[in-house]
Amino acid sequence: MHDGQLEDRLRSALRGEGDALPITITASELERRLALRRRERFGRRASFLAAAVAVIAVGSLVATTGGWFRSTSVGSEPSLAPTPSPEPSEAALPCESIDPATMDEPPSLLMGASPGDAKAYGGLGSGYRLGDRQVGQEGTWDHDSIGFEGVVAGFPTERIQVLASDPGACLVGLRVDARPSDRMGDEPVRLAELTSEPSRVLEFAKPPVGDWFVLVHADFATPTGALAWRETFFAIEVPDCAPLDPASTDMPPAIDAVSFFEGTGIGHAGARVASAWNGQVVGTPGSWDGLPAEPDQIVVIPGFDGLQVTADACMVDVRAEALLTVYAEVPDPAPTPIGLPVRRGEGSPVVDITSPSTGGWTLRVRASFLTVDGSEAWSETLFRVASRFLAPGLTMGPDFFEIMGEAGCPSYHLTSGASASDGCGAPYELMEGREPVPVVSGAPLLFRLTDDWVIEESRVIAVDAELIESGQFAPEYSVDFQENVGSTLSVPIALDPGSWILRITLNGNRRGDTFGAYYDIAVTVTP
Amino acid sequence: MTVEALRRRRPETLGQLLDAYGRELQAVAYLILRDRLESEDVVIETLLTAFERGGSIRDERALRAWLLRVATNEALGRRRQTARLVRLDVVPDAAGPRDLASESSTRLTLLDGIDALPVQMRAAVVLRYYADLSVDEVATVLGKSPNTIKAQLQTALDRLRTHLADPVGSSLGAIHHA
Repeated sequence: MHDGQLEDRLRSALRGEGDALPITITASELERRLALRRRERFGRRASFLAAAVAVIAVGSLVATTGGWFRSTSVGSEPSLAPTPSPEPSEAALPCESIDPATMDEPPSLLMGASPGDAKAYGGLGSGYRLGDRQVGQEGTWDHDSIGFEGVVAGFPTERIQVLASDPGACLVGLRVDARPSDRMGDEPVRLAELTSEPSRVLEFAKPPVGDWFVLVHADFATPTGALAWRETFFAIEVPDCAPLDPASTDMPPAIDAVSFFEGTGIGHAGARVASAWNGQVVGTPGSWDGLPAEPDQIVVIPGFDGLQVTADACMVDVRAEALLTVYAEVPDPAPTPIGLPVRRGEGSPVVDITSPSTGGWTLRVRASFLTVDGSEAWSETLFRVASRFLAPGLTMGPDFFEIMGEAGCPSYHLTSGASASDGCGAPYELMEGREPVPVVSGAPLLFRLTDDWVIEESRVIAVDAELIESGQFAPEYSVDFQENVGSTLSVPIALDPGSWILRITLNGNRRGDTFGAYYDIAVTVTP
Repeated sequence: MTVEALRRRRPETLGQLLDAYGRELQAVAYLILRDRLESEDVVIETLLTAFERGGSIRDERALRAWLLRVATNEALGRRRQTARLVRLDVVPDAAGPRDLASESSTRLTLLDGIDALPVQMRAAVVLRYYADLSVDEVATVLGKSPNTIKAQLQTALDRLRTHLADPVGSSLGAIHHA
């Protein structure tokens, strides 16, 4: 039985089995589980593995303000007393009022930690007022929980920041009320009430340790003094960083690594190579040796997946370094390790670190723990991380807007030293959802690679699409071969009328990096 | 519409998600785990995760791929938690030659063969041949390179072909990698 027949039977068997399964889950069961999940989450402390999401990029704001991660003196105990006045911080930067006559509703509100992660997190909108228009009642707690995890304000965060999603909008007032997430029946506690000169960002002191559900009321500046405010629910987690007692156990806590994507994470155990605990240093600090022959590999996709280290303890100082795996054919076989900056979370059981760039890496994490007696306590652990190469897509002229083909079988050699080269002869695979491109016989098709890749060499072959579809042998016809192509490839399609699959094999370069891949595109040739 | 509802976290979103994706997610989870109750739990956890964290998904197609990724990871995570080697003490009754010729018997033999695949490979097979994801999409869902997935799928096909040819022989003493 050849692969095609077996694949058909496989599909049929799986569909017969999977589709016959009755589904007994109901929407009300989902709602019940949602309520249960929230109670459980807010009731326990170590629910950080699925890291905070609902992240809203504020790149433009960061660009214009030079970032809103800034150093703030640490020391004062957090308090529930209302904040008397706003911190000047970015308030001095110019911002504009919002005009009720030109917009439908005020900008949404974001929340962040200071000092802390240079990202702002969205909340759950409640109501707003813009001039004469008002939606919802002011100060109404019409939600008893929030559907996502919120700002984590562990060490060294001292203050919570509120800002508008529109970086030009100015805030002039803030009122923040909070309830403990596991005691939503409690009267709200006022965390902040302040007025301010027009400012991009307003701040208030973080609440005490606990999980908080807060209602933020923010007033916007308007040119005529018309009312403009928005109310939004946020969650704030202030993790407890209880120190460890080295006398109570033989070893410091294990460090795990987690790759996470949109809130779902996969944990990976590492290999501990050294530790300091209860006055004794064991193992070989600084070693790169110690991973098993086939370690549990952590796969991250640059730009999509995040990388975290976790421990059942407070990690107050985390240092992460990575050593690129360089293969023998690369001229420089001994790269130096690179540091991976900590992004957020120091002082908590979950610390985000920067993912390494494309390549295979040995990751070494050294985490220091808070101890009751102030003694040295740390653990050094090795992990294996594979950061995938994201091959460029292939776009077509004249507008080069849509990606028409995805890279198959990519190989690469980057200036970082990372490389991968696989020989593969994969079946013809068209990009899902793409219709055949109509082309007149003899007319050229124009192609470009995304992400500024330049085409060095191209080879185009064609196979009969109908033969491929029916699983028959399809001879390959050479259509075109070009060298030193440049940014745009022009391929004359001298094919007989009919349905064809073009396999466009490209070698490209970008700032010293090189890559090769093929792209399959269906075309319908007309006379 | 579901993506928009996710952004707005409308109360009816959970029901919409269930209607739109529940059946497929349950089938994928079940085909990986072979446990109906566990697969229902995977669906519930996946849809709740989507409700809570899916607001940043850009379009319906991305939502489906993301849901499949969450569900597969959830299923694999459950399997990983209880990972162990299980030796089959009881060899299933061998089908007779006439039965083997029948379509339903082939289907059962294939399913038996799929069950015997390592769980990661089984997940790749389910995503490719049940959920109809492309190789690249399967690679993204499972966090592997497309080449690894291609190799896994080819190995799976080879093993299933062998299993079909001799279901009893290839099952005897088989070790299921949970």
